[in-house]
Amino acid sequence: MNPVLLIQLTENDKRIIFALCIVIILLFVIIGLLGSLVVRTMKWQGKKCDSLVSDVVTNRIITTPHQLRKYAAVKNSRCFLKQAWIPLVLMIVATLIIVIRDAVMNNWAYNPFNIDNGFGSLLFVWKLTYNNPEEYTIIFGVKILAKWVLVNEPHFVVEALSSYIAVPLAVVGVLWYLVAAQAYLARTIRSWKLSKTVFEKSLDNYNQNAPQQPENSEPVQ
Amino acid sequence: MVNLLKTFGKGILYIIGFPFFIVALVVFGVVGIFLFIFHLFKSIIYFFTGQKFFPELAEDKELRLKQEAANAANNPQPVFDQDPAEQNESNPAPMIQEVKFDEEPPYEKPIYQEPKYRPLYEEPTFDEPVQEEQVKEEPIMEEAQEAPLVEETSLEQEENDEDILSELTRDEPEQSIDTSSVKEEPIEEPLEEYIPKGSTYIDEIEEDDTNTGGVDIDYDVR
Repeated sequence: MNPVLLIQLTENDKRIIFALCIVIILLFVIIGLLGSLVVRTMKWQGKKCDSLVSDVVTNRIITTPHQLRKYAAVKNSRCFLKQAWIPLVLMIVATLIIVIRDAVMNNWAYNPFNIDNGFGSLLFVWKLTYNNPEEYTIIFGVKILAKWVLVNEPHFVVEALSSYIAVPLAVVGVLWYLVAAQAYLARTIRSWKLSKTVFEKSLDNYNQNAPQQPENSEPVQ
Repeated sequence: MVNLLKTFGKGILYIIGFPFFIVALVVFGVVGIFLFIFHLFKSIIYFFTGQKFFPELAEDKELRLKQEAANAANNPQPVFDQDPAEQNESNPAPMIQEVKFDEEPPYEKPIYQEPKYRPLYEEPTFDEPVQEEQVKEEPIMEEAQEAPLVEETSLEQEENDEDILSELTRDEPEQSIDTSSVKEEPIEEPLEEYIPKGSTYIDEIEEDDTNTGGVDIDYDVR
């Protein structure tokens, strides 16, 4: 007999399994909603490509998919430059601040995120040390990690002032740049789709053998 | 419930596709940085060669010319300075229509378009005579005679200075002073000329054979 079939679940075990299933389903649903949000955002960002190429397409200056992809690539890259220069400047400024700080303090191994004299000093930081027996607990006879030790509480350090300025600038710059890169990706995908659909010739609902009505024919009453 | 299950299925698909999306995003981000640097240098070169930062593409130029031609065809510029004698059948004189003030005119209002380029110079109008600027003749000799000489001026100034000096040094008339009420106070002997300690006159030069001028500075050698 298969030992799996021999397992007899108690009522408590069934409840736990049911709760776990619901949690997993909810997790996937939340991920699905977030993904749908990203897809909608990218579709909205891709609409910008329509406005960039619509004039030359509607005036029949561009007549082939290759021309459309080439023109859209140039226009998209220009649009990306206009969107990305501010976050790039923010990142460059943050880098310069850290470099100047390292040059003044003559410490090129400085980590701006550390908890001693970096940006981490403003954050709660928990850590697993693995060596502390107080972190472990026993569940069903198994010894597992169950507790994280708080190693830092928010406190102000004057030496970390440069990192307090540079790290937020860098984080904002990186996120902003990623949004601009996502828009660039969305416009590129949209231009590929447009190059296939704009010049599409469809024969749906067309039958060459169907009787054609002569022009200027009066409707039969 | 069906929508919930659809969203659940999308969630599974998005978890599978998430790494690919991240890779594509990072690739576009890195490519974007190189693109930014490339376009930045290219645009700087364009800027310093007198062009726009983002020069017009060939397709855009073609579109602009096409739109200008279409605008010109749709809105022809009205000709106002045509001689009525030259009007023929192809270009008949406009018919006069009675228009009520309360109603809108039945014809389209002519749209005046300004010329897109202006001549670099204004053509001169010959209707009015050009007024020449009247050159004022300056009496050079008279001014030269009227102008005082420098030497005379200096003499006059010297005379004036002498007058001022004589006025300042003029003895005032002696006034009669009643000295009976004035008590004679013992006149103290004048103090010796105050000389601060440690100072010497510049004129006093020590007679020393070794003095060769300049300042003697003693250095403490430790």
